[in-house]
This record gives sequence, structure tokens and C-alpha cells, in this order.
Amino acid sequence: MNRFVLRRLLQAVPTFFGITILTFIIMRLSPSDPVSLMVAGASDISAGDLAAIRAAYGLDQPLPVQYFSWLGHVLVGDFGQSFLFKRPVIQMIGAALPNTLVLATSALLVALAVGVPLGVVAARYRGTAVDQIIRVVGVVGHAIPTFWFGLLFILVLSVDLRLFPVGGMLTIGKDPLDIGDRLAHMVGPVLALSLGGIANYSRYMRTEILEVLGQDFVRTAYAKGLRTQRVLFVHALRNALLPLITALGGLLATLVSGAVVIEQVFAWPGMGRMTYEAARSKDYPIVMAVVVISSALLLISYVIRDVAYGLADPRVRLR
Amino acid sequence: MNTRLGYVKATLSAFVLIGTACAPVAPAPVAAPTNAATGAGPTLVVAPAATTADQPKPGGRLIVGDGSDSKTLQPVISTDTSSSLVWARMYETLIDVDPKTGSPVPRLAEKFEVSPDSKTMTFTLRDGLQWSDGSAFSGDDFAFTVEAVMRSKRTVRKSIFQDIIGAKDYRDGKAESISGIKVDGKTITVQLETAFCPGLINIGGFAIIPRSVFGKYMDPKDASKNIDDAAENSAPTLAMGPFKFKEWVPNDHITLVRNDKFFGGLAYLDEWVRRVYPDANALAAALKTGEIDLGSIEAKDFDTLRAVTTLNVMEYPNNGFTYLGWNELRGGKEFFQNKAIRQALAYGLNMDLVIDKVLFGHGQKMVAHTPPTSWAYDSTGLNDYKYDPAKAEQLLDQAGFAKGADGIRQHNGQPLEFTLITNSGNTIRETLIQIAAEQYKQIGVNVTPRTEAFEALVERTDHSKDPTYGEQGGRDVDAWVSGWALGADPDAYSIWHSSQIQGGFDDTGYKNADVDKALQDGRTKCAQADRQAAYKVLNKQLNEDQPYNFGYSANNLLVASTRVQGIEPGSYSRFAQWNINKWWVKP
Repeated sequence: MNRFVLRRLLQAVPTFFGITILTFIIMRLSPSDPVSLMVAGASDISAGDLAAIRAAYGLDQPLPVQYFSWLGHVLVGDFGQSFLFKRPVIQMIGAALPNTLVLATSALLVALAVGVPLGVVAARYRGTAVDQIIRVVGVVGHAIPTFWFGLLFILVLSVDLRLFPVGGMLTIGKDPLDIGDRLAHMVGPVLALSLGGIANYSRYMRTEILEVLGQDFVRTAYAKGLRTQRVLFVHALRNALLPLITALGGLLATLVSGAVVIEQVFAWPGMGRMTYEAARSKDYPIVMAVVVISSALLLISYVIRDVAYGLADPRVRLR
Repeated sequence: MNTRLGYVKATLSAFVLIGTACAPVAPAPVAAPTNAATGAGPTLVVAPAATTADQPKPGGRLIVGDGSDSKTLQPVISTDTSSSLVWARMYETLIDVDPKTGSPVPRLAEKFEVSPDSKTMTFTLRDGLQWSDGSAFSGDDFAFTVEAVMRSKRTVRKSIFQDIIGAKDYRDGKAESISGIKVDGKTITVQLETAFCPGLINIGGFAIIPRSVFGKYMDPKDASKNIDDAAENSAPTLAMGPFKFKEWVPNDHITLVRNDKFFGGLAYLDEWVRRVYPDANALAAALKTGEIDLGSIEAKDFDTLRAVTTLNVMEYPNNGFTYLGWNELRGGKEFFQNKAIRQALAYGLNMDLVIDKVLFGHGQKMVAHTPPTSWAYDSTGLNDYKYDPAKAEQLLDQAGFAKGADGIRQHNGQPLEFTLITNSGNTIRETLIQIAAEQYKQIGVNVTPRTEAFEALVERTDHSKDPTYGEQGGRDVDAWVSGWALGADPDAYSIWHSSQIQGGFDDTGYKNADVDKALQDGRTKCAQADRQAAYKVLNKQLNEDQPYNFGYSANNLLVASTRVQGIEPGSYSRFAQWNINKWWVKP
């Protein structure tokens, strides 16, 4: 097992470097640079000042020099300073990451708590109206653009009905520890974020449960005289969950990267929005740092997933 | 379950899940930089109804909504308006500009004057000025601010101060202070190497930071030390303005509280808060629900928000404009060098229709560079290029561009056609190029509208090189739509002087000796009457030559809760903040 883990981790290292190099190249080769974008449209800036800043940021160096300089700093834990915000990148990520994690884990829990039972119910009542309805909900939930849903939520539930706030994490003036206020602010974004997950997990579970229900051991269970509910939730579900664990493995990284659109619409100060704005403004330090963290997490989570799968299903032998 | 199949399924499912989770979603429309200047026309402020019975009461909080977070609270390294919206409430300037006309007015300095040779500025400070901790404010803080700019590696403002005598030596570490700045009690004297009229507003209007806080990051003998990484850049400890810093929750909000030592009359508001709403629709929704008290909206939301009884919508001219640029240094499109063609492109585009369709009427046509609200504006002799397709066609005929069988004009085999580019995601500009293409087609000009990413367009107009004229500074573009956010000073040197074709902002390659001279005069002969005369010449020539179709200026649309009193909008003060200390909220 240990050799397996070690080998996987070592295999991940070149992948990791490849990802950083690719991102670096894409960012640098695409048009414009952070300094021009910082001041675009302002008529009272002199070109000489801009050139001096580019030099100060090292933007006039050859690309390989810039990359290895960045890499050297990262390897000692220095992710550099944001060009735009002139603050350490770590500080900015440290501020945005908790917000994104709160949102993402809540959305994940909601998606699982709603999606998995829906999938099981749909499988149980396969072919009936209940099944049809759940499947349509699944398709619709997957097809709805989150941006549109988010705005609709705001327009109907926040503006017309005044049930929820429009955006942000809390109400100005209220105690920051007011849980009720915090939760109220989370309803919209979590709902919008979990829509796709609910749709996915319900469809997914339905398929898996149906697959499992066709297995021999289930027929044995029925033959033994077990109630359907027990067969379903104790035997079938457990087996159907295995692939779900696999799927969840890759989610760790996407949790971290945040949902750009939701954060934009609901003014949620998270990683997605920060990364998107950084990418638009060519704020390389932030984008590279987020890529490093996300890819590291992704690669690690794949290893964890493989190990977990091996642990959960004794039939799987890890080589 | 068969293990191998299960593994395959598991992996596939993982990909499916990750794939769907990472499905590219259309990024929400980022509010494009609305660089609009208002054109001619009456001031159209719809000020909130004056309630004479109410008296200002201290207390309460104002929540302002903006589209992005501040990047820094340090004026020296700040480059964007989302940052200045906040730090300008805490840091003050020697002089300010009149919010309606842009003329210089006293602020920390109760008197100011410029010497006849325009090389010396003298400011006289008021009595009893104090920072928020009670320590005395002095001219030395101003001198320190200039020192901080000259040694900063992140500032874009060195060009403002580098003509001060001794500034360059200080920057290079050859001096321990700037010799051209002398502080004598309440009097500050700034001496320039050459006459530079914009210096008054740019130097006198620069926010001053305290030496007592930032001095420790600098060393007079060591030019490599600067304030760029000071912690107080994000968490200011002292303030001169009506408010001082309380907290900054990144990307969410910044809270300021009243500064009890403010010289201009203590603010009535207890707290001033700025929240971030990146999506314009969400911001408008937040105004409707009262989640924020003040914000700017797009033209399309004007009617809906005006119908809300708890909101006041104020419309007033903008100090900037959106234009169509014609590249005169473009291989194959040399017709742009012909004034008659450019004039035809002014007569041939119905800008009023554009303003109507695209801005819902909330804008004004521009026909020259300086916006009508500026003190430097003079409308005499300006051609308003009223939409006249017949005249346009006449000009094109006279220029030798006859219509071919396909309706497109051509001259000596060179067809009158070009590509018109703007940045994607900006629906206003995208509609503008569509309308332009349609209307120009009618006069026999074949225009292909195209969009590209904002970054690509910036790159194109800043750094690209035309294959034929690249060496002379020609950019790799035929024609494009972009905008300018103008500064407080009417100087337009960086955009129109012929020296600015290479490496400056004269992206069209326009060159005119009278314009060059007028720009120079405007920069060196600083009596207001002289500058007015210079800019009259500048605008008359630009109006005639039409190096741009000067397009339109989209009006500022500022929305405030009816609870907020004291607002007096003006083109030269973003979000009408110039008199924020006089605002109060009805309980």
C-alpha cells in the first residue's frame, strides 16, 4: 500500500510541473499584460511610468527566466505579491479560501443529501410517474445556467419577496457572528451551486442502484425474505456508493477553485471570483498560485481516491 | 460487479462528474469600463427634492455599492477608481476641483497661485490642520508624499512630479530630499524645471500621506527603499479626510468611520461603507432592496429604478467619451489620411440614433475632445456634424471614391472598406459597431464589425505594429471603438501630440502642427484665459479634422436612497463624494 501511494505521488510530480508550465505559457502568451490593463482607458498616464513598472515586476525578462524565478520562490513557499492588489498572494488566498470552502462544502452536502435519496427513490419506483418526475428534475437542474438561476433567485426571492438578501456574506451593521444572518446570505448561492450536483447525483445514484439491483446478491437478499427497504438502503446503496466515492475524489480541487459565476452574481468573496478577475487582469501571481494549489489538491485527491477505493472494495487489488 | 469494468466505470464517472462540475460557464458580464464623456447639452442633474423642513442630523451609515474591490488604499500606488473611491475619503489634497467645471478650488490650501512664468506654484495652508490622531499636518507631509512617489516602484504617477526641480536626483538617490519643494511655515513652494500648467491640478490635487506613518519605510540616503510594501497601504492608521479606516474584509466591504479632526466640518455620518457587487444586475437589485444606499447603474436600468419610490436617480454629464478611431497609418487603408473621408464618416453615422438605441437617450454626442462641462470648453465655431448622409456621400464623391456596381465605393482600385473592432462582452459597444456598419453601408462604405477580448484590443492599440507603417508607429488595426476616462486637467497631450504616436496614446497616427502648438501652449501658458484660448484652438482643429468620430459621452447615472440627503452630483467628482461630509441620512 505504502509503495503504491509513494509511487503515485512521485508520478504526480511531473504532471504538476507540466500544469504549471502550461498555465504560465498560456497566461504570458495571451494578449496584453497586467500593467496596460491596470491603466487601460486612463488618458493621464505616461508610457515611461508604465515601462518602469513593467521592469520592476520583471515583465520584460525572457519567459524562461520569469518562470524559473517564480518557481524558485514557490519552492520556498513564497507565492509572491499580486500585481493588482500589491499584497502577498497567500494573504489574499487565505481570505478567499474559507469563504469558498464554506459555500462549496455546504453545496456538496445539500447536493448529496437531496440528490442521493432522490436517486434511490427514482430507482425504487422505476418506470412510474415518480421516477419520471425525478429524472426531469435532474435534466432541468443540469441544464439551467447557474447565472440565470442566480439572477432569478435574486429578482424573485430577494427583490420581490424580500425573503433573502441580495449579496455578500453578511448584513452590514449586524454582529458578524449572527448565524441566522450568515445562513440567510448562504441560501441563494448554495442553492444555485447545488443544483447541478443534485441533478448529477440523483441521476447517477439511480443508474447505480438499478445496476446493483440486477446483481445476484440482491436476488439472494430478496429470496432470504428481506424487506425492500432493507435491501435498498443497506445492501444496494452501500455497493452503489463506491463509484460515488470515486467521483467525489476529484471534487476536492473543484471545491477549492470555487464557482466563478455564483460568486459573481451573489457578490460572494471567494476563490472563483478572485481567480477570474486575476486572470482577466493578467495578475499572474494569483493565477499561478491558485493553479498550484488546485492541481496539487487534485493530484493528491486522486491518490486518496484510489486508496479509498481499494480500501472500500476488497476485490480491488492495488498494484 | 466485475472489478475491471467497475474501475472503468468509476473512472468514467469521475470524469463525468468532474467534467460537469468544471463545465465552462459563461462568465457573468463584467461591467466594461464606461469611458463616456458628455457632449453638448444642458446640465441634466435630477437632484433629490430639497426638503427644507429637515435639518441635518448626525448619525447613521451610508453604504455605497461598487463593481469591484479596491486594490489598495495607498494613493501613491493606486491606479483604479475602485481604490480611489475609498482612499479619497481618508486622504486630502492641497487643492480640489470644482465638481461641476473642473476648475481648481482651495482645499487644505486656502490660497494658491501660479507665478507668471508658470514655473512656481505657491500654496498657503489653513491654520490648525490636524491628522486624525491630533498630530499637526504640515507642508512637510506634502513634500514626503512627493518623495514617496519618486522612489516608488509601483506608482504610475512619477510623470506628474518629475519636472519638479530635484525630483529626478532624489529618485536616483543623488539627493536626500527634493530641492524644488520648500516648506516655510504655512507656505509651500513648488518649483518646476519647465512651465507645466497641468502641474497645478495634478500636483496640488494629489492625495497627501503622513510622514509620521510612512516615513519609516523610506531612507533619504537609500533610493531602493520605498513605501510599496507598507502594511498601512491596506490599513491606513491616520487620515486627513472626513473619514478614517476601520476595517477591510477583502472583496466584500470596507468600513470607514467619522474622523473627528476633519478640518472641513465634521461629517454627519457615523460610518461610510463600501460593498462590492460585481454583477450590475445584482447591484441594481441591492439598490432596490435598500441593501446599499448609493450606486451607479446602466442606462438599461434607468426606467425601472426611477419607478422605485424609495430611490432618487440622478443623471449628469460624464468626463470622458466613447469614440471610433481611424488608423491613419494603416497599410491598404490610406484613405483614412483624407480629412474628407473622416468627415464623411462623421456625417454618415446617426449618433443621436445610437444614443437613443444603445444608451436609451442617456448620453450626449461629442464632436471634439474636451467635454462641454469643462471650464476649458468653448463651443464657438464647432461643427456639430448633424447626421446628413447626403453630405457624406457628396464628400466621398468629391474625394474621388465613386460607387461601384456593388454599392461600395472605390478609388484607383482601393475599395472603401475596413474592419471595425471593439471589445466583446460590452453590449453597448457591440451594438454601436453593428449600427455603424449598417449606416456606413448606406453611404457606400463597407464596414466589417468584429469583436475581440478586451485584453486583445488593449494590446492592439498599445503595442501592435502595422506591417507597412509599423516603424512609424502605425498600429495593427483598421478602426476600433474604445473610450477615454479623462483627468481633471484638460491637457490632452498624450492623446493628440504627434510625439505620442510612437509609444504614447496617439493611436490614430494623427499629426497636425496647429494642434501640436495648441497642446504645448495649453501646457506652458498657465493663465486660465490663455489655456482656454489654446484649448479652443485644439478643439476647433480636432473638430474639423475628425481623427476620431468623437462618438458620445454616456451620462453618469447615480442612484441613491431617498433617505440620503445632501447629494450634489458633478462630473468631476465620482459618486458625488466631494461634499460627503455634508451628507446625512434621514432616520
